[in-house]
Amino acid sequence: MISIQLQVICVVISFIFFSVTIIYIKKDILNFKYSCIWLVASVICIALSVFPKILETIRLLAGTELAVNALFGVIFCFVLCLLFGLTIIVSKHSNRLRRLNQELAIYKMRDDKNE
Amino acid sequence: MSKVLVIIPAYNEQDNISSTIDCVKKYNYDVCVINDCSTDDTYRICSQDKDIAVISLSFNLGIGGAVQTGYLYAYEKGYDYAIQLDGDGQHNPCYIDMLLHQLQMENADMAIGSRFLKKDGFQSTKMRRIGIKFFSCLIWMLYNYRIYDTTSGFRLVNRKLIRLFAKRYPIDYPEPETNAALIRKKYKIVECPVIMHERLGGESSIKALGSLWYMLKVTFAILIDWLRGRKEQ
Repeated sequence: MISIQLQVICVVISFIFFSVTIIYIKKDILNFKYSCIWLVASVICIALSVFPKILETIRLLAGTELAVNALFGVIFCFVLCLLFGLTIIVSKHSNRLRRLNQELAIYKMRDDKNE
Repeated sequence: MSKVLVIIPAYNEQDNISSTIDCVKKYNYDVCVINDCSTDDTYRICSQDKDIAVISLSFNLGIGGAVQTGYLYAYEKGYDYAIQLDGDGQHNPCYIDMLLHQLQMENADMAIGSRFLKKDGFQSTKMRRIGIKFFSCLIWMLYNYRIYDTTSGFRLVNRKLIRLFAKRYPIDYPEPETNAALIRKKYKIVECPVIMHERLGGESSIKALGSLWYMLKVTFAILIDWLRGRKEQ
């Protein structure tokens, strides 16, 4: 079982993380579409720290001896999925940027030639 | 007469570009130079020539992206044929007419200017020849179709392929990959013997350290494309 101190620290950190994400969305620095995942992640973190029983269930399901190992496993999978998602987004954007660059160059040339 | 556009991708080619352009203009073809965000005087030299279209990209896209810009332009302007001609003087425009003739005669979609059909002229370095042979074998094994000069950039395509390339074209090292994809999609490709020169100056886009990456990337791309074909079947 995790100690009450650790539980409090986890809740506070998760809450700060959640608030920072909200602030950045409010300031239009983060796109809501791409930051949803972080909001969900921080809500899950809060839930896990408030109800450590969930973690115990995950531990039993994963069959690990320590709850913390199950937690690391879950986090690792989550980060992996997240990075994969980000790679997809980067690839998509690089394709869009390429097309934009090409079309802009053609228009610029037409403009110079007054076509 | 059918409209032919000569696409010249140029990245830092200030030493060769004007002689290449002059050479092409002698044969009365329309010329479109894609300046791939060169850091030297390439753009200034090209833009002095008012008879040609100079498209200057905002940031460097690499050879595939630059050539694709040319295809996009050719498509929008309604050209019937387009040919890529490297800005470093390797390709001789005197062969364009022959490629066009061959393409029309055989009713093909693409005509490749090949170094290896008549082993004349600059044959590239030994290592590179091995690489080219490897791709040739790979394509032959997958599709039972022989292309000798798989990496030749000197390729003339018809309107159908201009449209296709404007839509989708690999970013880097596009030639072997697109050749394989076209064979898979049952387009007709002909190869014609040409003599290529050694580069007049500047640097090749494929450097020693990049060779391994080149081989891996292209092999992977050809195999992935082959899988695409299997899925469609």
